[in-house]
Amino acid sequence: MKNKLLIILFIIFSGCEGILELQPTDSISSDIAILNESDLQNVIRGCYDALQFDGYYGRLIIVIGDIGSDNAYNGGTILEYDQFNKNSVEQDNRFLEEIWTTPYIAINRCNTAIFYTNNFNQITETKRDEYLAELRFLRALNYFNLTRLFKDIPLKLKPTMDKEDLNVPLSDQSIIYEQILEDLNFANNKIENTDPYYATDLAVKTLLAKVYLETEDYEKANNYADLVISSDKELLESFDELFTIENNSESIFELSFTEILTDKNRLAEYCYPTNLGGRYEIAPEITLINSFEDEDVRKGLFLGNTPYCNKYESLTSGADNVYIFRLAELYLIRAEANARLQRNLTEVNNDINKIRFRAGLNNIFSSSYSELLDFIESERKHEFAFEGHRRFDLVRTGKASSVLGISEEDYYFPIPLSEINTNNQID
Amino acid sequence: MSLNNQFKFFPIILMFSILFFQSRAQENVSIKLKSSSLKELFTSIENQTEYTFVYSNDDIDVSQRITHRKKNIELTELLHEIFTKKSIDFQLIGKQIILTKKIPEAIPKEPKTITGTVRNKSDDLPLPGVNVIIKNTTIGTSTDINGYFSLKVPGDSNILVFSFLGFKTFELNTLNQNDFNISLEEDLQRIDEVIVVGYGKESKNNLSSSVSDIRTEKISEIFTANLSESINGRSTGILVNQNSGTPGAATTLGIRGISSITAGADPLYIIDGVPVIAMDLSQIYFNGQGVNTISDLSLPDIESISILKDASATAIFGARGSNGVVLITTKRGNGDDSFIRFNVKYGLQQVTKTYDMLNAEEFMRYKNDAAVNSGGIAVYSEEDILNNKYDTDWQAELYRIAPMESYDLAFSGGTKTTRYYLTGSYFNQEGIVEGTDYKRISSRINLDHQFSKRINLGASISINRAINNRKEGDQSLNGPVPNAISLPPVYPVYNNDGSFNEDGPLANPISIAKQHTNIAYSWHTYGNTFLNFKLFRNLLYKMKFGIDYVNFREHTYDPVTTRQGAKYQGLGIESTSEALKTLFSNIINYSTIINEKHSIDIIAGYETDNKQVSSTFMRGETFASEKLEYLANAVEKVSAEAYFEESIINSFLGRIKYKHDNKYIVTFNARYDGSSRFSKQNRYGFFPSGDIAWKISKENFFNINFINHLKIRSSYGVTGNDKIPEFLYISQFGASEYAESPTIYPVNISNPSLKWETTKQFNIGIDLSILKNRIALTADYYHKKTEDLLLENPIPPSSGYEVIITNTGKLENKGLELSLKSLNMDRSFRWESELNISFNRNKVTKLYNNQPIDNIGRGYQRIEVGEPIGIFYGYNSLGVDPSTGDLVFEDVNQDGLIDINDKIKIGSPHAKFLGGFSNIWAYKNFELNLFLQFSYGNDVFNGTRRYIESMKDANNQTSAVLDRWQEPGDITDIPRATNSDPNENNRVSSRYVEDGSFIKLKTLRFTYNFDENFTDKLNINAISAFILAQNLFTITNYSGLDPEVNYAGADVIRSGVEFFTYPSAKIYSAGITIKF
Repeated sequence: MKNKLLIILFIIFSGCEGILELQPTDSISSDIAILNESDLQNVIRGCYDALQFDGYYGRLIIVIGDIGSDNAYNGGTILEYDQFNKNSVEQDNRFLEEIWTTPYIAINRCNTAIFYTNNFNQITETKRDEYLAELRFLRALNYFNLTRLFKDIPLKLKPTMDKEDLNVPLSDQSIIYEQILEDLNFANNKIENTDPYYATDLAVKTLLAKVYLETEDYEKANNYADLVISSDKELLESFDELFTIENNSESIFELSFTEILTDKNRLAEYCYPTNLGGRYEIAPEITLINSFEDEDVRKGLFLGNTPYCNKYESLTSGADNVYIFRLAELYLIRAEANARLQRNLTEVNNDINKIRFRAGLNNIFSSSYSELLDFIESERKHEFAFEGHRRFDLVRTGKASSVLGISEEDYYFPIPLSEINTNNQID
Repeated sequence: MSLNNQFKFFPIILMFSILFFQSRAQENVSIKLKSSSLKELFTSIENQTEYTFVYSNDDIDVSQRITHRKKNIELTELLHEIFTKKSIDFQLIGKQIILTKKIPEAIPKEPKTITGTVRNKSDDLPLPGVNVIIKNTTIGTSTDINGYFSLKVPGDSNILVFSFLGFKTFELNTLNQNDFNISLEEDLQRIDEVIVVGYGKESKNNLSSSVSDIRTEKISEIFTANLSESINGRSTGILVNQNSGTPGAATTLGIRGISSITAGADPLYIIDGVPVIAMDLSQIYFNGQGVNTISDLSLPDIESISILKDASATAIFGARGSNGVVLITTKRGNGDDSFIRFNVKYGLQQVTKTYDMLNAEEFMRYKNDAAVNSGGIAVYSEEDILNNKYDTDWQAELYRIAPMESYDLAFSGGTKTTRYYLTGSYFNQEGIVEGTDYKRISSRINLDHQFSKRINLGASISINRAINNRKEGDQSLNGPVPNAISLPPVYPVYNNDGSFNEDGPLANPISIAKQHTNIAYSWHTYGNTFLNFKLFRNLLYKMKFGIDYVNFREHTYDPVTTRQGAKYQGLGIESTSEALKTLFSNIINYSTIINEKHSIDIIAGYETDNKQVSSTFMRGETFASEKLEYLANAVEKVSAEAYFEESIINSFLGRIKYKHDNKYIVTFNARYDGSSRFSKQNRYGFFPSGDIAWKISKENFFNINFINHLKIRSSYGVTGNDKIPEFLYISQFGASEYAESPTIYPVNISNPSLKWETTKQFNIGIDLSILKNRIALTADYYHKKTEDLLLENPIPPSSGYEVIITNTGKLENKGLELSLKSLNMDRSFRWESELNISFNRNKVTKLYNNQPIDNIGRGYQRIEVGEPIGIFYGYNSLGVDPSTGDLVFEDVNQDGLIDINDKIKIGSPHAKFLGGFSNIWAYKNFELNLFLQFSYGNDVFNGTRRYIESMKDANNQTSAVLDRWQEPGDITDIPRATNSDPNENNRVSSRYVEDGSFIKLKTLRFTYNFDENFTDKLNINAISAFILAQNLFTITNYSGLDPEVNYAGADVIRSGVEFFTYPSAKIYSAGITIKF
């Protein structure tokens, strides 16, 4: 009797060690995550996935770019946007924390993918370089956004893998731009892909043009803009079609969104007024509406008695794609670079008129470079309204003080408290 | 010879026999009995005559002693002599002598005086204060200091009832006698209740750990579907975090403060020995209105709830015991006492309070004011204001008087070897918000069978079906409650064509309430089978197999005719979750008593507990018609997901309890748990605890008479908490998609060194009963230190991650618990009171790099070293500047700027003390219960006011803003209205922190127990009826709806915040219980 019981108990107890060993079911253990090239491609695509966050191109960078300028105000119920509208943002503003955090998540994904690409031995060196070019372009884009928002920032070039990698000090903006250029120069002329949903060589060149414009190297800005303009990309005839036809001839880098819940954005929801089912968080200033010339077709995208932006119209599904770069900007970059270099007067006027013509406006001609720069600024404002450019432009040109009435201290946002409190390399 | 069964027909036989067959017995007999039993008398007579005795054992006590000696006496004469004294009637019918209990005759009553002395049977000392009452009357007296009483009674024969707390009630017939010596026997059962503890039971007297025990009477005193609600305020050391008034919504139970920050604060729930699934399986985000599967439990099935508080009580549950353990025991059949009980309740609910909002005119003036103050022009002309077309009271439109009802039927019975308890119940509660309701049907069978002398086995199986109709609530632009509060009165409910008006800045709440569908269907089945096998005389093997299965399905639909639905041209969600938990438990129990003084009780066991959760989620948009609400008709299926997760705990456990002479008690518990949530090297944790108790009142030297029971006890031990997400010890990649292709990405920084949170708890307590057990006090002091807190450490976001979970934090809870029960009066009028008060002080003592955790939830709460969890943190508002109308905030660091460095602690959601006070007054068949609940010193952050007293946006405002600053010189505490709000008057500040102290009249209940005379006529065992009022009033300074509010529901970290929360209800109900 007693023996039988002991045997039963032994059987019961002996089965218990192995059963505590379980594997995750909705994630992959990192040691078996990347085994072949398609896994590697999945990791690389994960970097684009990070750009889609609501806290990034999915919403916030556009909210900040326009609410933080003279284009728009916070018309909805979310209280924290008010600080952006006033350009007086507290360090604990949760959206400030988001616009800081999401580009760094994207950077960490890039660094992780770079790490795995470097250590992957089933591909040719050319292929490896092409993957690396794509990843370094994306990393440069993220740093470009961050430094334009926060100026001096931590520079991370390695993936965060354990607690030792957490604290990185601030680097000067000049160091950040050096790294951006190093990444972009590496990436230049290496990418064969031409699908604008992913990195392309034209996207690399566009970003180079933008970075050089920002860093006031107008010669190079002009050169890269030139290279892109002379490619097979061309402006769409109709401005409206820009926001109805995806993947069009003008698109250089376009973030894909679909109606799938984890792959959608909330821009239309933020732009639409409440009586149409939106939140009206990004509401156009009446001064923006009034500043459009009457015949400007671009005004037609700001509709209604309660005017709202209709560039993003898929309220239901949130599937509007978002332009990161489109060709129109390159014309204005080239025009601005030349105008700042005070040369090529005709080309400057032509480039501006190229944009104005498409908007249904009369050609202008000016022989004053400063007047031309004002025209360029105005075209940028109206062409890219609600595409998240305006605040960056005003800061870049130094006009933020006069237009927004803010001091230079407020050109860049403060580094959020969540970073200051946790990073022991930052005071 | 006894003829129990035939006895029922006896009255008829008797009638005929008296009329036709009565004959005088002519036989003579002789007897000689000395202190013999009646039985012996019967035998003697039966031997001498042809007669046999017929009687019922119920009526005639044949063991009673008689002394009688007679020679050759006529039988009837003898019987008369003997039975008159014994109050027995006899009849001779044929050759049978039929005995019945004498029915008191209605003879003219001559008053007489009865005197006597009452003594304690055990020590023969006189008992003062014993109640002496004539049965079924209110005539009575009580004994004096010498135990003596004197009472005038009408007539010769009366039944006197002697009752005294702690003693068995004694009944006495005064027939033929006027002076009595009565001995009362102590009722051990009454003072010494048996309490369910982990893996066993213990008498309250011998309890050496800290356990609160709540019985079925208390649980059923309130009319609710919710377990936590039913025990709210009933015990020391518990805090019920009720969230909203949503019918069927989950509540959390905090035991002795918050012991964890991230790993969950829910206690372990165990029903009949099996840990149950207590989690919110809802996938549709309804903050604060979660559905906890524990709320599917049918309350009438509960016999008792034990709340295990100190480490000695909880450590036997090891890794899951840190937050305390709630042991629920369901009712089981009693073979001897068969009954059917039917219980029906019906009630009406009404919202306790609504916000007093501006009417149309006031609203328009406010909007003008806000526009003008920010440099704009008035929105409404004076003409608009005076001729306002609509003045809708949205809250009045939304709230309704809602019924609730319940029906319970229970069958109990069986034989000596097989016992059953079978129940069926139906509960239906409509919500006070239009369109919300909760229905539950449940059934249970508890079965026990004695298979043989050695083996007994049984099962407890319960099936519950709940249907919960919720509406979106807190934190949503589509919630009926927030919108009904905030939507300005200037819009009508309906347009002229009968459609819902959607012109307002927020969706029409009535439209949502009437058209939005969100139904949760849950099936919850739990059951266990057990087998107890007596191996040897003192050795018992117990095997238990438990299973808990929940299927939870949600169906959501917003037709295109709602604002939310319009956005997606119809929005539908279907989700299912399934959770399965299995327990296999093997326990060996050895207990013995050596030399009558040494009692030893040992258990040892092995358990394995497996939990699997799987879920699916689908979302579709663009529906062809508002009549088609299932996803098959959605054009765009935007989401389809499925998950599966498993976790396992393996445990070895043991306990040794030694009692010496019932004076000294020592216990040692240990549990060794292994959890799949941790890496191999940290997988197992050891959780020991011990206690020691001394019953001083049992000592010979102890001679304080008025103290009946005095025990000191102390315990110390270690428990754990493992409630963190799975697999954090390995680094993982998650998956998503981009441009219709798959992506993977890193999701965490692995932490292979993760281990249990451990809580070390010291407890010291006393149990004291005085004045013949009329007053009982239990007091406990505890100090709980939690270490290795599994904490989401904020890390630099520049790393690409925001948190890493590590074992870093420390916190402590210390507190004092007092529970006092007293029997204030115990005459014909009985008054019992019970007071419990708990003091808990919570303090965080260590965080990751001691960085505070900020901006938690809608109360912008903060976790900071040196402070309790979740303090309110923000600017200190000093009042309104009469010259500008703006708030003045305290410049804490006096640098001339008001910025984030000026934020300070502006409140704490933790009460200084809280508790409950209940009273029962009983007189004859009437009983009145009153239960007050109170909390003192807790603050509430009224996040609702941040919108409805912001005076800056489109929301309607409360009538408090009528006192707003309007021109320089105005002295008020309400700032000016301004849309642009340049001073940020609306920032998170002490302006929104309010004192949440309260006293609530939780229940007032009046019960009538029908007279036995009445119930006997109906052939019913007992009937009682009640009327009940709940939440009748609340005394508080809090300006919001209910100070007992937690918008985030189960999340204790975000407690004490109101944010457009579903309000609570006053409930008036009545009911009746019939027992056959």
